[in-house]
Amino acid sequence: MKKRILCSILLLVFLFLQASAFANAPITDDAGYLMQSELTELSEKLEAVRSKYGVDVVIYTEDSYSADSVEAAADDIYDYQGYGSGEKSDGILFYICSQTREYHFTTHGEGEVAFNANGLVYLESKVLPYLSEDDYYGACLAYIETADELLEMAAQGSPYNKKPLKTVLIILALCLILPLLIAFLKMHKKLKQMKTANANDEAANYVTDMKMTASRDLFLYSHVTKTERPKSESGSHTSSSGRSHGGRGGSF
Amino acid sequence: MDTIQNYRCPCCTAPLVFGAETQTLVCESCGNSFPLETVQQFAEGNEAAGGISKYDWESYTPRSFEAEGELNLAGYSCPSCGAEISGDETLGSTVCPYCGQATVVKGQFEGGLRPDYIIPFQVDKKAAVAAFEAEFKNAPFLPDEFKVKKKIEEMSGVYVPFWMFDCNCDAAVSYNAQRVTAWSDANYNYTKTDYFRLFRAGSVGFANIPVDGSKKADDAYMEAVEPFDYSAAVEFSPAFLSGYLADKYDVSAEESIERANERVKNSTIAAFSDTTGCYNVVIPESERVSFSGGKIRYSLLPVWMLNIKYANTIYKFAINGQTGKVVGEFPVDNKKKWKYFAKIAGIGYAVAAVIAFLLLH
Repeated sequence: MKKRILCSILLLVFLFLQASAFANAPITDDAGYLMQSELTELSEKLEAVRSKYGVDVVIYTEDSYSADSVEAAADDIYDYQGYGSGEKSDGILFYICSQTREYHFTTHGEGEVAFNANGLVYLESKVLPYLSEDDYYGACLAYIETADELLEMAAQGSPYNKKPLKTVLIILALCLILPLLIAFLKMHKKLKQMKTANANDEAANYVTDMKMTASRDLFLYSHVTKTERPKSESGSHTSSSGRSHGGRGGSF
Repeated sequence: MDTIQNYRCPCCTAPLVFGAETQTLVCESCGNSFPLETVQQFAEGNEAAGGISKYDWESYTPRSFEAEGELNLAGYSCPSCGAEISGDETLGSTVCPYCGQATVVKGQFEGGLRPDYIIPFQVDKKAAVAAFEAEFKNAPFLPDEFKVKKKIEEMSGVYVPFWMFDCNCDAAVSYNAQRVTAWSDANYNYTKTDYFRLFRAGSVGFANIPVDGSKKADDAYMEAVEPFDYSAAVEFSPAFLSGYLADKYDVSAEESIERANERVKNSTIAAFSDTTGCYNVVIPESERVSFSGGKIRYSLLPVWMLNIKYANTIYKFAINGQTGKVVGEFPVDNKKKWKYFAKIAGIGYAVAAVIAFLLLH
């Protein structure tokens, strides 16, 4: 009997410690994408993952945001609602906004290591196809499974570091073409030295004097072009709270 | 009665209307607005720089030798390219300095016109050959064999006829200019392009712009061999021709004017362009050059003409007989050329491999 009571107390203590490690529910669906049964299933899966690795892995959806950008919205939720585990608030938050159809993964602490720039590209490649087809449950499942995969790799001491195929191809193509191009241009420059008999269209050598009588610079008009910065924010940035975040996001 | 001035938009050329609210001239087509003063200055500048250029050269009256009976030269002609040159009566057999293909044929000297000035040769044959050989170091793909197996087929000191143009022109040039600034915030990259119209006006003096007066002398070679120092020019005397060949002009002063005008115009735009340094892009829009009483003189300038035979091909070179400047076209050793290409590409690939390794791992 005493043993049972002791076990019950230990279980309660364990559950209390678990609860204190993660202050918030693992999933908040203010946008109303998911059914109750789905919410329950996803919550259990998220709890399992974040308990296994001690890194907060959460999902947060809402109708709209008031921040300047989806990145700022996700960062603010993470910082001001107390997400993250441990002293360094380790974790990742998957944010979806239904009105603007934007998503963002924000990472902090150890989350920035496990979900580094390449890891986030990989994570995005798994989740985005479901989002594009409005399969939010599928997107959340893919997020949890991939997060588990990436956290496992980080736990093994080798966080995911595979460059996206597109980046690899671009780097390889540049490495193949640029040396040839530089060599050709340098050769062409030297080749020009072989022929010095070239016409001279100017007569600057024969200017004896020059006097300026009028010099006027008229400003006419300005044109400003604005281009959206690439969504593939791979480096870390500082949120409004002053904390460092990694992240990646876009529209679906 | 005053006429109504219609202003056009500097951006899209649509008519501008006066906006009572903003007190500016507004373009309803592109949406830009301009202060009245700016548009007035823009129109004034356009008018100044947009007029028709006027190149007014004094006509040149040639003087002939025959009338003065001062010259004792023989005429020589090339049966291959048709060049007609003059030289000493005692000139031995010589290969045409222009084409290097055939021996010139002695004939009757006729039709020579007396030059106004001459710059005597200051670089002798030995020094000219040394200057030519010194130029090898500036020809990176020169075949090594060329240095030892080249054969100087013909080397002649030729006084080449040039028309010399002097003028003091008034010029107005307008340029379209752009200044680009860029910045970013959290979400966007911004590029701001400020558009300007620049007006420059003033006077530019030119002295002794040379234009080759010989059809047989390659214009590109003759312009490349410049500049000459005209402070060394002296009144023509037949004594300077002794031991050298002399060509007589077969391109008249009138025919050369077009090239002189072109060089005056380009140099004026370039001279004023030097005062537009603080912009990212400066493109000449229009120019007006005008002068009157531009002077033309006929001069003989010293050029060593070299015809080098190598691998059954004649390579032509010209050496400034005053400064020793060498111009021409050297043969290219393709093996050297591609070896250099492979060397640079190899270094490039080694660097690229390191960069790729660092980026991909």
